[in-house]
Amino acid sequence: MATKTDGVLDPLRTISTKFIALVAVLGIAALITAEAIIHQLRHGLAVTDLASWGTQEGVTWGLYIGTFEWFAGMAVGSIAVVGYIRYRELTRYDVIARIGELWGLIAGLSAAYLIVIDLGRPDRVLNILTAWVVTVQYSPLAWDVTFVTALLVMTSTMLILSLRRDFSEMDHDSLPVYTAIIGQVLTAGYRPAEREKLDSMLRWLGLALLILAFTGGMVPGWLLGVVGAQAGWYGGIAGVSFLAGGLLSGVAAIALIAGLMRYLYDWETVIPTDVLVGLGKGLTLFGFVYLVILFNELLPSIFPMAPLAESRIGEAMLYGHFATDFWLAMAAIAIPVLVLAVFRERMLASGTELAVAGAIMLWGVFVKKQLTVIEPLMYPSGLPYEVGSYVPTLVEWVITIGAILIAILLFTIATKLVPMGGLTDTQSSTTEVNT
Amino acid sequence: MTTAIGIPILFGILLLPIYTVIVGFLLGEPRDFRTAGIGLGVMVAMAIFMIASTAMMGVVFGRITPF
Repeated sequence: MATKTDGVLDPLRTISTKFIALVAVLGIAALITAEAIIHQLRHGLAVTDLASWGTQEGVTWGLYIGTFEWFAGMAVGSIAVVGYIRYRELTRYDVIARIGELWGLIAGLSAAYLIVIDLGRPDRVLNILTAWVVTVQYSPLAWDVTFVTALLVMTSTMLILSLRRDFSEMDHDSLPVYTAIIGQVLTAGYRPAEREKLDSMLRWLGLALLILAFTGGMVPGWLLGVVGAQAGWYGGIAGVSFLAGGLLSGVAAIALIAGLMRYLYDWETVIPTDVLVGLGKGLTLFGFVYLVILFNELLPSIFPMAPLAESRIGEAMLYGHFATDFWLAMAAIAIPVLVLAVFRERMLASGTELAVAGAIMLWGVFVKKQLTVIEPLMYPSGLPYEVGSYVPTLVEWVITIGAILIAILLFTIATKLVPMGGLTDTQSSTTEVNT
Repeated sequence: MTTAIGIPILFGILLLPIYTVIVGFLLGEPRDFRTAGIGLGVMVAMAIFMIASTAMMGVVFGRITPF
């Protein structure tokens, strides 16, 4: 009988030509992105289509902030998954937790990177740091910086400590030399007696990640929800809406990665079918909850009693310029929810269907995040401004898509550097699954 | 009140996970202050690394940005 130990280290031991080709393509994409960033640094945000209200008839936030919200949401969802698995000690989901740790960290870094890009002059991050003591007293942006920093610190701590536990059970001589070096560094000073304490600490850290996801995880939503002057943003549901979208996109990203890795490495025993079903249940539940919250968010703005500024945005969302994008995004979330709910067991027998469902839902959340940020800004309220317009430039598209491709590149390389799970409890875990 | 709201949000909400980790690592069973210290040390080191690398990035970009 094959066990989990047979396959979990496979990604470390094989470097195929397909892998090298993928890294080469993503590397070229990263270089093109770097060129676009340099171009923006030289000429400023004038190379984007971002503009002021009034005579410029533009929007002040665009693709960069929309994609920031998407990445931040994925990071929140990823750490929630990791926290739950580590806190409940679900050893069968060990590989899922590692995927979540890596993707949560990479998504958090990508979110932070896009904020810096949107500053136009990245050296302004120094102002954010030096003024933090004052701005944190009133500014949701300062709370957001605090949250993203806490997320990065705690996720990287979880990754390091869980790797310390995993490496402590491995024969470093059987690993590639670079992985062995990482293992030597992370297990420096390790004593077998600390194992029980390490297990306990990972549980506490899991609980802390869960708390962070469900409290601080609302902050990126508050960025919009507290802006009383902006119809379409203001309201008490913004934080919860962001959290729900984040949970969905985080689980969707992990499901996509897990499905792909299961297919690529024949990981039928490493990621067994019941784990796929568990992820499918998560996608179904969080997708449904997100749709319910979006409905509640939209309904007041399209009801006849809505204030004029609100109703303009609500109607634009449903019937206006971006209506096709809105309805496609809703379909990209609703249809997989329905299909997963009806055909769960049959559909999730292999990981590929789950990966496809995850990819479609991720795209739906991506589009909705862009619309949430951009569309209200096109309808300034309270001032006699014209309806704005926004068509992202090539530079914006290159930097945004580049951010996604660079995140994929980082994850792809990480799978060749660190083990995707531990060998500990493998036998009991496999037995548990098979029985 | 506007300026005061950040303080309870910072100490009452945003830092809750940090309190959880500190209390859990130090007081959670089994008691082992050496391993707890390693864990807290990793967290502090990562915090310093994240903030210092951001500051460093700001300084470098300040030098290469031509305006």
